[in-house]
Amino acid sequence: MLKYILQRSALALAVAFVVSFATFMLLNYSVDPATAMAGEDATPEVIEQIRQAYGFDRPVMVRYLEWLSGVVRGDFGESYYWNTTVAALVLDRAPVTITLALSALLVTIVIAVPLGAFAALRPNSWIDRFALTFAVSAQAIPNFWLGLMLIILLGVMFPVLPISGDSTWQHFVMPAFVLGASSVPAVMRLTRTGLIEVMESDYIRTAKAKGYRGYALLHRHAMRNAILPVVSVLAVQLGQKFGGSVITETVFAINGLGRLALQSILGSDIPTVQMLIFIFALTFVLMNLLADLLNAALDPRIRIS
Amino acid sequence: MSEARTILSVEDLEVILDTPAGQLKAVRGTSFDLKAGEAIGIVGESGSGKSMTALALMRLLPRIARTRAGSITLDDRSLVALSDGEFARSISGRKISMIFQEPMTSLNPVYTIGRQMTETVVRFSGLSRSAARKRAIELLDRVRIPDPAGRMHQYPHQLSGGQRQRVMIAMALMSEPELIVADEPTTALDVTVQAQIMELLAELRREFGMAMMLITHDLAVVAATVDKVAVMYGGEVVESGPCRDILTEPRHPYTRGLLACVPKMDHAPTRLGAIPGIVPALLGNVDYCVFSSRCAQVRPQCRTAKPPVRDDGHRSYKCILSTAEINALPAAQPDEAIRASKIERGGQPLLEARNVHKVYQVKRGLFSRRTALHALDDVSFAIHPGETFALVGESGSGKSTLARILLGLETADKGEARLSGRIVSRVDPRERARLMQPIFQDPYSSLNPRHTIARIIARPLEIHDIGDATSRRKAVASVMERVGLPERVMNNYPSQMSGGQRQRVAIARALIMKPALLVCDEPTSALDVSVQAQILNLMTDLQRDLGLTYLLITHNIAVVHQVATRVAVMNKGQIVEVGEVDQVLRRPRHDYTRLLLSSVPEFDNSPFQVEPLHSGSRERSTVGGRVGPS
Repeated sequence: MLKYILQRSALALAVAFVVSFATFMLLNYSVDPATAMAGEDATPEVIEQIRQAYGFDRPVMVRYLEWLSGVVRGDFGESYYWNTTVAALVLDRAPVTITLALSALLVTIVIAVPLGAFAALRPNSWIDRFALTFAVSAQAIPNFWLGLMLIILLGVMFPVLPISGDSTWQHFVMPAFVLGASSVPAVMRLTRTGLIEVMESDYIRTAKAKGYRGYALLHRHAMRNAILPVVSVLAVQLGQKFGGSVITETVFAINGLGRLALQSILGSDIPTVQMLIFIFALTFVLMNLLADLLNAALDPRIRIS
Repeated sequence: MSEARTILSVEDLEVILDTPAGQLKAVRGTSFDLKAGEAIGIVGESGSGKSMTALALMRLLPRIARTRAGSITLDDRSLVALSDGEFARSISGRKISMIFQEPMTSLNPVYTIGRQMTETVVRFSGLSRSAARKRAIELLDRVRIPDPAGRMHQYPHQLSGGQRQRVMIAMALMSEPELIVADEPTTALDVTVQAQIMELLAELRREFGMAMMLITHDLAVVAATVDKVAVMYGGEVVESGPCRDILTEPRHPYTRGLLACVPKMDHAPTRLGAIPGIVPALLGNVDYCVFSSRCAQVRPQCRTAKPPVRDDGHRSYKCILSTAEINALPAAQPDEAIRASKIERGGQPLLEARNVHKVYQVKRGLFSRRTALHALDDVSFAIHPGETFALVGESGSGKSTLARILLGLETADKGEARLSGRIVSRVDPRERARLMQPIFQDPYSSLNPRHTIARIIARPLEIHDIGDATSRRKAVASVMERVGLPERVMNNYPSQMSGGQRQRVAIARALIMKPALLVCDEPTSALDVSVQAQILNLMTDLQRDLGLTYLLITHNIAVVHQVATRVAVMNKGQIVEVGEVDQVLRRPRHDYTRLLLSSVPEFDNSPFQVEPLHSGSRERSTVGGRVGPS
C-alpha cells in the first residue's frame, strides 16, 4: 500500500512539473513580462530598463530553472502587482477558497446523493422524473447566471443573505450553493445509475433472500457498492471547485484564490498566475490520488489482492 | 423415513409477465407438495418457468412479474396472505433459504464472509455476535472450507467459485431453515466441483432434515440428488412423480423426448432423439396442450383442448395418451449407432501440435509481482482426416488457449502448430480458411447483430473475394439447407433467431468455405439439452456426408462420448492422457481422468444404477488441489 502511495505521489510530482513548465512557457510567450511590469503608459526606455534590471533579457529556460529552484526552496517570487511575495498572498487567500470549495462539495453531496438514491429505488416514478429534469436544467444553467439570480432573489427582493464579501458564514451560503449546484447533475446521475445497477445485482438478490428489504437492504448491502464510483467523481469535482471558484468568487466578491487568479491575469501579474495555475493543477492531481486511496479503503478487491 | 408431515404445499401458482407483446404467463397452474426432509427436482429447459417458480416462492420476481396463487402453505401457515414485509421478516432466510446459480457474484464483494454469514441471525434471530460467529465457523468447517476461522475475515474475491458456493450453502444453513431452494446451484461450476457440491447438499439435507427444492436443467444432476421430480414445459408441470420412475419410464412425450436428447455414457453412442422446433412463446390464454407444437404424437384435439391430467395417485402427467398407449410407442431415441468406423491414421495429419508451450505473465492484483502462468506445457497431438478429436478439461486447463494457438489467433512461445504439415501462421489466410474454420461457444455474441443471416454466412466468401453475388447467394442457400435452416430466415437478423438456430448459422458460415476441419470450442454448452441434441446430430450428419474432421473442445464428457473418436484430457496446461474414446472413458489410466469421470453425474435410462439417496453416501475420491476458475 505504501509503495502504491509513493508511486502515485511521484506521478503527482511529475504532473506538477510538466504543468509548471507549460504555464511558464505559455505565459512568457503570451505576455512580455517587462511590458507587463512597466504598465500601459511606459516608454520603451523604461521597459528596457526593467527588462535588464529583472533579467528578462536572459533565455527563458534559464529563468524557468531559476524559478524552479526558488519553488523547491519555498520561494515563489514577488508579485508584480501586490507589494508582497506570492507565497504570502496565496496563504492569505487560500483559507477562504478552501472553505468555499468544501462547503460547495457538502452542498453537492447533500443534494445529489439522496436524490440519486431515491430516483434509483423508484425508477420512472415522479421523484425519478423530477431528479432527471432537475439534472438537465442544472446542467444547462451557467454558474454566473445562477449566482446573479440568487443575488436578485435572496439579496435584493428578499434581503436575507449578504451578497458580497466573506466575513461571516452567511456570506458563504449562496456561493457554496452556486458552486455546489454545478456538480449535482453528474453526481446525482452517477448515484442513480450505480445504485440501479447494484440493486439488480446477484448479491442484492441474495440479501433479499436473506430477508433484507427497504432501508436495511440499502444501508447494509447496496450503498457501499453504489458509492464507490461516486467517491472518485466527488474527489475530482472537489478539484474542479478550486478552478470553478474563479467565477463564483468574482460574482460574490469573495477574496479567495479564484478572484486573485482573475485579478492577476488582468494585471498581467505573471508570478502569481504561474503559482495559482500550479496550485490548481496540484490540487486536481492530489484529489485524484485521494479518490484512489478512498476507493481502496472502501473496496477490498482493490485493497487486498 | 416414516410418514413425514407436509412442509410446503403450493397450489395453482401463476406468474404473469407484462411484456410489450402482451401478457405472458411464465408459470401456469403449478402445484406441488413437499414433505419434511424430502427433495423435489424441478426440471425444465430455458423458458419452462422453473426458475420463475422458485423466485415466486421466495418473492424475488422482477418488477414486471406478478404472482397469483391458489394457496401456498409452509408448515400449515398460509404465505399468500403475508405482506412483503412480514414475509421478509419471518420467512425468507429463516424458514426458507435460497442458493443461487452464480457463486461468483452472489456474495457481496465489499463485506467479509464472516459479516455476511452472521448478519441475518444476529439481526433477526437475536443471536449474540459471538454465538453467531461460532456457528458460522462450525458451518464453514462442515461445508469443508479449510481454515474456517481465517476465512471469516476474508472477502469473496479471495475464494474460488466452488468455495464461494460452499459459503453460500453454509450461509443458507445459518438459520436452520426447513426448506432450501437451490436454483441451478452447480451449473456455473466445473464438473469435479459440481459433484462435490451436490454430494455436500445431499449430505447436509439428511443431517439437518431439511426439505429441498432443486431447480435444474440437468436431468443427470436430478437423478443423483432428489426423491421426486416435476418436469416443467411452457410454464406447466407436464409430468411429476418419484424421480426413479420418471427417469426410467417417462410418460409425457416431452419427458420422453428430453431423456432421449441426453447423451448416455453406458452404451455405444446412438443418434440422439431430438425434439424438433423451439420452445414457443405462449402469450395470452393457453387452452391447448403446451407441447402440441413440438410433439411427435400430436392429435388434432391437442390443439383445441387442454389434455387431461392422468394421475394414478403415485405419479401424474398431462396427455391425451393413456399409459398403455404410451408404453406401446416406439422408443424416443433411435437405435442407430453413429460412431464412425475405424479411422485410418496413416500419412499427413491435418492438424498437429508439436511441443506447444505458452506462458502468461500474470499480475494478481495491483501490488503483487508478476508471476509466470504456464497455460500450456509441452502439448503435442495430431489429428488425422475424418476423425473427431476431443480436448476435454475444466476451466483453466488451457484448452481454449490451445484452440487459439491452433487457429493461428495467438502464437506459441515454444513449439509449433501445423496445419496440413505447414506452420499455421505461415499458411496463406485464404488457404487456411479453406482448411480450417472455427465455431464458438456463444452463438449470441459471435454473430454480428447488424448483418442479415445471408450476409453473415456469405461473409467468409466476401473476405476472401470468392465468386460473385449470384454464386455467393447460391452457396448460401445450399449451405443453409445443409445445416437445416429454412430459406425464409435468410433476411432475418440474429436477434430474431433462437440459440440453436444461431449455432446453425455459425456452422453454416464455417461450412461455406468447404473446410476440411472444424474447430468447435464448446459448441453446445450455451444451449438447452434438446437443442444440444439437434446440433450434435447435425455435426454427426455433416461428418458422415462431407467427411469433415472435428477438433472438439469441451468440458462435457457426455458430449465427448457422443461424438468423439479420440480424446485428450487436459489438466493445468498438460495433456495427461490421450487415446481412443472408449479406451480413455472406460479404462482411464491417469488419476485426473478418473476423478473427472467419477464426477460426471451418473445418468442411466435403465437399469437405474444410482443408489437412492437414503442408503448412505457414495464413495468418491476427493480433489486434492483447488480446481476453480482462474
